Amino acid sequence: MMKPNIDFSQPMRQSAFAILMILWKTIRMIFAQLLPIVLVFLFGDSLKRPLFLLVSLITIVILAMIISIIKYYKTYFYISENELVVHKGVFNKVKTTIPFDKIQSIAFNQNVIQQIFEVTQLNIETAGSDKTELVFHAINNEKAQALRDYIFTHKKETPTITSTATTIAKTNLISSYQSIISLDIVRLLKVGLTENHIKSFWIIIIFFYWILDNLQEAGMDLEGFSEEVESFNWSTNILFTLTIFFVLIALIISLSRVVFSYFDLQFMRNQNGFKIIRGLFNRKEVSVPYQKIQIISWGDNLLKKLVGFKDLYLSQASSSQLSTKQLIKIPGCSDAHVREVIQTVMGEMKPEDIQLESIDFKYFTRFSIIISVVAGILTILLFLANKLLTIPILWLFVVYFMFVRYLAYSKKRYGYNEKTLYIQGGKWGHNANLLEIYKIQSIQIKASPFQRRHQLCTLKLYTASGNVSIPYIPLIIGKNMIDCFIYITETSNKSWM
Amino acid sequence: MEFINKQIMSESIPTISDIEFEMLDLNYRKAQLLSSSLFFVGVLAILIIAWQLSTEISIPLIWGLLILTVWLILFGLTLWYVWKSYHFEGFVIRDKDILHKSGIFFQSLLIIPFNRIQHSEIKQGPIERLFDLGSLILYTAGGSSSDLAVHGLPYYKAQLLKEMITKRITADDEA
Repeated sequence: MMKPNIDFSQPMRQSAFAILMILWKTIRMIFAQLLPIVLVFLFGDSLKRPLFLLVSLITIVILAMIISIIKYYKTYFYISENELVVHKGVFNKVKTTIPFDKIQSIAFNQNVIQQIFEVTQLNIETAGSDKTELVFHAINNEKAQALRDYIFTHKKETPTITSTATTIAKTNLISSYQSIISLDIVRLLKVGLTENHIKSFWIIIIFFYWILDNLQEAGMDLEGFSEEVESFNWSTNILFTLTIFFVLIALIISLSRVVFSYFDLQFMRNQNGFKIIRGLFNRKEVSVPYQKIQIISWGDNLLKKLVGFKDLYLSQASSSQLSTKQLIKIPGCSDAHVREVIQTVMGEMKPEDIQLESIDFKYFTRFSIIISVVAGILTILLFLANKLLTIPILWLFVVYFMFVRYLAYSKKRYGYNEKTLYIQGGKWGHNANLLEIYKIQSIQIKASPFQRRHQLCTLKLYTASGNVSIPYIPLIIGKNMIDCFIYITETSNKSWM
Repeated sequence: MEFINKQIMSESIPTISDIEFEMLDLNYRKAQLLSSSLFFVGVLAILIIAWQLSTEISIPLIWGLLILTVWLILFGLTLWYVWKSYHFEGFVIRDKDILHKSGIFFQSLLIIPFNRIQHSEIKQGPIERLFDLGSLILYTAGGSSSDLAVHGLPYYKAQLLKEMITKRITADDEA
């Protein structure tokens, strides 16, 4: 596919559509600033003078329009010698120069209107302790693509001026993305239906609670209502219907959450990194260079296991704190997809080839003893308080927690070879973490008095984006792993983020 | 259970099992004792003032004595903990990394290779200044959970270490 060859060395402006975006932002800003005055006007006697109100409104809008248009014309950018130069500002002229090497990521963002006008918002994130972000409100889709390709092609090269011919060739090479997954609507619905509905269920409960709270504050008579509720004849039939109702709502909520965020998900790769485009109303596009990926994780739950789906997570190093933004989720992957991603990032390797070990059984017994002792004390207290009915419920919970702990114990596995560390886990479902050892940036070894008595320890491995831990392993093995991992990290010259 | 340690490298690799930790400065213990004493005296002062001011509700003497006992026990425990924990804290600087251990009951050892340190700084609070101490803090990328802080170093030593580590970081960058 031929990309339009755009000469970025010439100063250029954003798409004219940006005026609208700037206008919208300016008006919002003005109203935020003037909110107290606006309120005074609204609740004061100005309503008696509608003409005055109208005139001031129109003045504000016209002012905002003039400001936006000037702002638009005063903002332009160009590329010179592997640097992105941006001029901004009406009264205070600001010239920002960003060397390509400092650019961490370029993300595309499109809302519905931007999609219609075929423009993209560009967020350019740069490295450094202070996270700076540069935002272009609206750039033509083609131009935005070309700009990003240009920047990423020239990023790691020495600052020599390449001839235009090779540039085009390289740009084409870069742009040729290979699709890994594209989620069609059936797959998307399957993903939505197999989400963790218990999470949605809690959201509903919290939401209802919040509404009740607000109604009460608004002075509604809920006391009388709750009395009615108590005197109401709660037959099993109604309880059953209510449960079904809540389950349905939970289902709808998780389904719509998935559809909104992951509609028409495109997951692709080229030789530098992955690219993810997703979203229904808000199209989002993120690029993930391979080198920035610290941990590859994947997992499922009981439902997803039935349909053979896995959620894949890529945790990416970033200059700022780890947030959900840097943990990129790709739902609806099959085992083959996961394998493809692993091999793309880490080269020819199969996690199955790594020999795995279990953790110590005391991980389960220690927890069970502690929880039983606590429950025992509670039982005596409940017995003394004559609340006999609560005791079986308490022990039901105890058994449940012990069972979950047992599941966690039985699924926890760890192993490593000379390059990679592989950790499996999960409770009802499965999860797995894979990381290249040289990416580790610090290791912590912890031991409680109990663990020390039994020559056990817990290992925690930190990367530039998230951490993994291995609990209850023999102390000798823990120390051995530290020695190996530290050796690998310290002898590695590879750039790790 | 015998863990199969596949051969990773032929040469013998350095191990953390046989290293000797450097103790922190003895003044650090004094500084810690002073700062926790100040805290507890402050709490007591606030309690007494509140007791004096609350003329409307009379608090029985027995309650006052009970609170005083709790205060004494907590104060004593804290002093004991600070006194003891000195022996459990320590650090080692090796050729390519730094190790720091801490904790009486829940013991922990943190290791950061120099080639993964982003930047370092020295912090000094008012009490530390009194004893001419400083804390060396080493920052890694992404998240504060893996940052390492060595408290209670003599100030000159903290500066020396910081310089040394900075040199190592830049040496690694150039290599």
